[in-house]
Amino acid sequence: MSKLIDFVITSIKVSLTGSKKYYAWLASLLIMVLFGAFSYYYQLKYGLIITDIRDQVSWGSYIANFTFLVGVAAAAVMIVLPAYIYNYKEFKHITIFGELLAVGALTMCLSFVLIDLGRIDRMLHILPFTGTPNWPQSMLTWDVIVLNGYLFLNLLIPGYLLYKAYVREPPRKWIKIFILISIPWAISIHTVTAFLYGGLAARPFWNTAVMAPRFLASAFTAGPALMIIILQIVRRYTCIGKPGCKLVVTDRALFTLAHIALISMLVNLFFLGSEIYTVGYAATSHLAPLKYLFFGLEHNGVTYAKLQPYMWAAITMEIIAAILLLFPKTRKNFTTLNIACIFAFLGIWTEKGMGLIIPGFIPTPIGEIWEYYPTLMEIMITLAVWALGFLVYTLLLKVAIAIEAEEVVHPSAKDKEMPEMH
Amino acid sequence: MVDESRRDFLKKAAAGATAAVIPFANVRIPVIDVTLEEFFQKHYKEMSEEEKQRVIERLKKEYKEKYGIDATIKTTPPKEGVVWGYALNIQKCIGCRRCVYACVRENNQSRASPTDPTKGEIQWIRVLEIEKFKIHPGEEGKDFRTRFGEIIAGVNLEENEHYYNPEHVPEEDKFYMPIQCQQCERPPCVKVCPTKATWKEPDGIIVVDYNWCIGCRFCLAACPYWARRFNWSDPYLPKEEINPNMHYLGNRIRMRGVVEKCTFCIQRTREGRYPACVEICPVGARKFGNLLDPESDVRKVLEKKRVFRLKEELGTQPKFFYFMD
Amino acid sequence: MEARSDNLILQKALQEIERMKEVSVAKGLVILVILLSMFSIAHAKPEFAEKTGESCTVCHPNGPPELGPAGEYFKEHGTLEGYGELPTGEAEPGGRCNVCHAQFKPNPTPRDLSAAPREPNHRFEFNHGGGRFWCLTCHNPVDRDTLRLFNGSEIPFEEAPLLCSQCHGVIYEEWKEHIHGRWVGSIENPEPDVICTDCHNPHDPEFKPIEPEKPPEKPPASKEIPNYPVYSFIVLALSLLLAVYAAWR
Repeated sequence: MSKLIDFVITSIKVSLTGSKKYYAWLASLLIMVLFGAFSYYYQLKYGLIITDIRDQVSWGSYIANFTFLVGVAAAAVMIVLPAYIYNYKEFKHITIFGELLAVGALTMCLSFVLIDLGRIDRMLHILPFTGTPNWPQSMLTWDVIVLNGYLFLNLLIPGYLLYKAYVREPPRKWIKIFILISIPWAISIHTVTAFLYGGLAARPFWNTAVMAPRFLASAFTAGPALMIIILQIVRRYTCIGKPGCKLVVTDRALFTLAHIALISMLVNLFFLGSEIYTVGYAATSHLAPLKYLFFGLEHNGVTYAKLQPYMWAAITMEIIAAILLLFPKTRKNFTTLNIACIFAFLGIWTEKGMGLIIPGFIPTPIGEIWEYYPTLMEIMITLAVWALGFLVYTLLLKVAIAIEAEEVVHPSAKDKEMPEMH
Repeated sequence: MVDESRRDFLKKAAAGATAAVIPFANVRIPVIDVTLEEFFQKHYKEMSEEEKQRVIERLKKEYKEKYGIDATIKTTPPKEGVVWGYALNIQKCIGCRRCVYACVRENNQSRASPTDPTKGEIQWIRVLEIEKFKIHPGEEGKDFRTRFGEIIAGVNLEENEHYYNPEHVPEEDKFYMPIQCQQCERPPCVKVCPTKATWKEPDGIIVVDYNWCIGCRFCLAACPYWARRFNWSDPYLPKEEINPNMHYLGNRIRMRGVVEKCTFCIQRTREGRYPACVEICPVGARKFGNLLDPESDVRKVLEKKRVFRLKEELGTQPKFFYFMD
Repeated sequence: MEARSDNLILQKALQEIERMKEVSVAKGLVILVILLSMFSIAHAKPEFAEKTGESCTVCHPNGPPELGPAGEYFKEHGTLEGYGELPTGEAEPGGRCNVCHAQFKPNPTPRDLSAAPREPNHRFEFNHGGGRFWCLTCHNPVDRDTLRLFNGSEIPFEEAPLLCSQCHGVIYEEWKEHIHGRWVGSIENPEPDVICTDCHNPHDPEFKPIEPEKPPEKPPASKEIPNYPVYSFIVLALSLLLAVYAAWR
């Protein structure tokens, strides 16, 4: 027990100490978070009227970002699965980065959902015992279960493994069970989130079977894409590459991730194309939201097309990313690889976040067209939550890197060798 | 069985917590501006009669303090053998919107504040103006792939006008269709509510416990008829406009962050009166009654007129029927 | 009332003329003055008296009634021109129509009475039946305080639905079952305190278009905090600078 407490205290110390640049990064994120909290105070005081969400478009930036980030959280499975099921060595070293990214992403998801609530003071009503959850009928209750469960798994697994590394003991076998559970669990979190939308017959833009597969495909693109960028940053700021470093992030791991991102992106584009064909060929009334996205809708002589430029930019970025990832020459060149990853990430953020949630409400089920564009306060709160997620991730990563690089160790285990972690 | 006893124990503990809090019940939590008693209030369906009465006393005191009115807040239960139904004659409707405003006067919606542009008027009924028909024949001689003819007629929920404002209604070439909560028998909104804050009462009315709703707005996304409204800010309700005759599940004054919608004027219908919109319609286009009573107005409409429902294919089974003469 | 005094004056004048056959010039002058004065107020005579030669006592045997607004206007201007909308001739309980109509023989010829020279009561637009009806289609020629059904039977105005149902049978059945028209009060016992003619003007039944209430407002504006854009800009700039510094090689 004392070792555990020591582990926790040391972790906190490690996460809060570093170079000047590290502090600058933490400060950069922290002021965004604090300003977000300041802005959220106004949202609590005045209500959601500080946003641009109204009855016509009743979910906005918060839920759009939540949807996208659940996908990023789920993407950890794309590292864990090859590492543990296929024993892919390159990935064994980087699973912890994926799992901790899931923690950061889940922090953001849960924050987004909470700040989107009209009455956050009543959030206990959704939990059993303190409330009356509408389980199993309401998909939101399933989402509460799977998201919190996945958060628990992704705190437990790296936490346990890092603790064991800290005290230089081999991890017990039971952790494998949790790791294996986390694989289908990751699929489930994104499937449940997709089912939130796919089950609504009122919204034909979302009420399609391809919603869940699309979500998974785009998650497994955006997640690895982000992971590739992050791992390169990790390589730059840690001892990786220098002699004697115990951290291992090989180029091969990155290229395999890129490969995974490529396949997922192609599948995602295929699902998108399939969606566009199914809705567009018969051109029923269900075409309206898609038409709004790409071409705008016209009513009484006014054309409503606020999202049009973003959508075309997103599709272009996704296609360029797919092409860059397709050819080994560009996939293995770090410049083009990074461009591809950034384009993939931004493209999917648009196509799956704002470009999925907002058009679901335009036109309203009884034909009104009302456009949404986030207010400044909404944008700042959104950025603040992103900053919070990255802050959490940075702090956790600092600990993980310190422990895995064998820079910190429990005093009693100073002379022990690092056991086999995986 | 173990679960039962544990649940019972925890419920008792929660009740104990509520009882223990009563001495501090009037402490106000800042920013979100609720008293501790309100914070710990239980779900309406789980409250005993005394608890309900305590809640009503608290609400009455609040309204007296805030608005200076003496409200009656009923908790009238549904009558046996009654399922309310509604029929609207779109042949007769002239789109005058008297129903919209009668509803607002009756149900204590937030009004538009003359000084604060962030407070708008919530209207539960939305009247659609639909063109009777539009004909654009295709171009002669062109092959079918290049030019479709266009003939649009009928109930068009995709292209209609909500903000019509001509000098006089009805206009020659338009017909009108008011839409409000259809009180579905298979309500998608009830299915998706994560906290069971909205449910179907035995007399068929879908109600919301405004003190239980967490404001997630999943029901707004799930409703195919755009019938639900949300309080984006604190409601603005001048004292003169308040209808003091309230029902807990119906027209009591709401707070920011919760969902509301038409409740078939539950404060009226459970006392045997017609909803406000039915009474005010100047052309008698609205009919209301007990679907289980073969002699009721709405049953007669179902027998004698050709009725249809909106979005029948979605399987929501609305109890709001539209008909024509 | 001037009209009656005019008549009496005329009568008296004629009598005088009869009596004073061998009248002196002075008396003749008096007569002339009297006759001239009659002309000066001749335009104040109601058309009824002009066209029919009947006296006012025909409708008002008990002396002049109190003037209503139309009467006051008439008194002031001598004519009802420019008065505005005249009452459309709804039957008053107790039946006031017979007070006049009992005096005349009914004229069964269907004709347009919208420019009726008689009472202002009958001067209104008649738009019922598309030219196939006229007054005596519904109104009982022999007793104007009742209505007449197709089979000749008489019904009071309060039972007008029976008459309307002769042509509008389906609507009548629906009205009886509460599915036509407005019903107010309690759902168990809705009040039928309106009959057909309370909502539909029997002489011009088509509802006229009315002014609609205001359209709904567009969703309200967002709440803005003063100086928020400035604060945001400062925070974003600071954050970005720190991040750039952190990333600088």
